[in-house]
Amino acid sequence: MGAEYVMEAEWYYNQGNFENAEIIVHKALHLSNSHRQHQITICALFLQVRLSLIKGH
Amino acid sequence: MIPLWIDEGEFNSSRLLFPSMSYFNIVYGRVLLIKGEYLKLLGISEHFLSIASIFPNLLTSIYTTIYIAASNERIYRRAEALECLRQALDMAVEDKLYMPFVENCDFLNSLFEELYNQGIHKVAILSILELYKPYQKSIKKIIDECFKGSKPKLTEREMELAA
Repeated sequence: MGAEYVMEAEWYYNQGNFENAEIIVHKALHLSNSHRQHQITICALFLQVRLSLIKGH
Repeated sequence: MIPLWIDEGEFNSSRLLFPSMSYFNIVYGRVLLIKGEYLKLLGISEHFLSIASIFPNLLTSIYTTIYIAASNERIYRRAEALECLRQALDMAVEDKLYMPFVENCDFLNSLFEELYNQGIHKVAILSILELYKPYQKSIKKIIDECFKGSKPKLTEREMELAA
């Protein structure tokens, strides 16, 4: 659970739409955490790292 | 710091499975570009593309074609560089996949300028250059804060993972 949202968030990221990417990655994290889908959580966290990089954090 | 196994392209010494090799090549290609190993990158890029075509992986194809363009530009093969960048844009523009170009804009700026002047993918190029401004600023901020002067303190375990 959550893989579809990680993919959607990455799609937004690659288009440079960082706001939507951040919204959707939270959706992915919430779902993957609650269903203990750790591999999806790792992908979502990695995307969050990339989004933080965009913000200079 | 780039881990040694990535720096040396040692995919087989990792525990990664074959389907992830395409993504490894995205990182490894950028490492070669930064290190200035343009001829090596041009030599093995065909292999990157063949790996990317197995499942297939459009993102890796775009990144690899960008790396080929950047390498050609650095060895003064401008016509080949422009043609490759145009091909990469052809692949990416329909889905508005701009970030692979933004992430490598430090190697592509002058090529974008020339393609723009030729009237090729003008809207996409403007979007990419617009995205590159804050990206460049953020990268500079991170480098200044974390990689110059005193580095952030990591725990022993964090150092182990970072290496």
